[in-house]
Amino acid sequence: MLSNFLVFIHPAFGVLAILAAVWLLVETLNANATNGSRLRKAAWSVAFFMVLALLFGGQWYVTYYPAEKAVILNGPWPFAHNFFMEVKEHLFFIPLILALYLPVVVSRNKLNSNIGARKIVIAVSSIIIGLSLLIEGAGAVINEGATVAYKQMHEGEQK
Amino acid sequence: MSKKIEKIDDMSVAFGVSAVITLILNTLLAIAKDLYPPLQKMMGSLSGHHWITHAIFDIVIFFALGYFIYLTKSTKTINSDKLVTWLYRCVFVSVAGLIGWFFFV
Repeated sequence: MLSNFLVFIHPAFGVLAILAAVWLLVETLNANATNGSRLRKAAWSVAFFMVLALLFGGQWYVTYYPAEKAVILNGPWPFAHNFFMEVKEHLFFIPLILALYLPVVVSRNKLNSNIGARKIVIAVSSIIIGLSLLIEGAGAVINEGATVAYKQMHEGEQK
Repeated sequence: MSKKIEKIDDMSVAFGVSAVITLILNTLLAIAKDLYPPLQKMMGSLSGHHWITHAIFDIVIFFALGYFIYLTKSTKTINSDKLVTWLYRCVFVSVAGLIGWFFFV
């Protein structure tokens, strides 16, 4: 039960981090004298949701994934672990670090008057959005790798 | 025509440079762990799982290095255009490194 909760909640926090990064990107593109507070809230939201994705995803990966990994490796899609999970578990640290960087830039610069800071926030939030979508996609492949492996096991038991 | 240099605060530059270095170190550590299993085992023994140690390493390096670079005030010559270029390049190299390593090895 906890395993199911963790496996669904961690990509949900990943999606919320992506949405917060899109929000930050839009606020930055429209930076003016009145949206400083929203900019800071958006930047902190990206960091907050990314850290939650780390904590919940990490808990699932460390506690429950080893059993699933064995099933995937014996199934028809071993690349779901050998490539997609291996890349995903390390690629995740890139948007994580960049998400932790965003509040530093947004809190310490006035984005409406500082073009340089705006360029950095636009670049960092765009990278976070792109990589996080890739990570969500990799998660779907890993999930499918487990599904086809369990299906194969079930068919084997029936024969 | 001279290029306009955008000024951003020192701490933002310091932590930006720290992010660039941390992302490269992250990729190198991922490859090193895969290449040399005793390293992965040693990292696992530190926190209970090599991935947890890896996460702690990245976060601690990012904040410690960022603060260190800020204190040394060695970022005076770095402007936002340069930092953005470094960020894009380092993300490209890190992503290509991880995908290339786990695809071909």
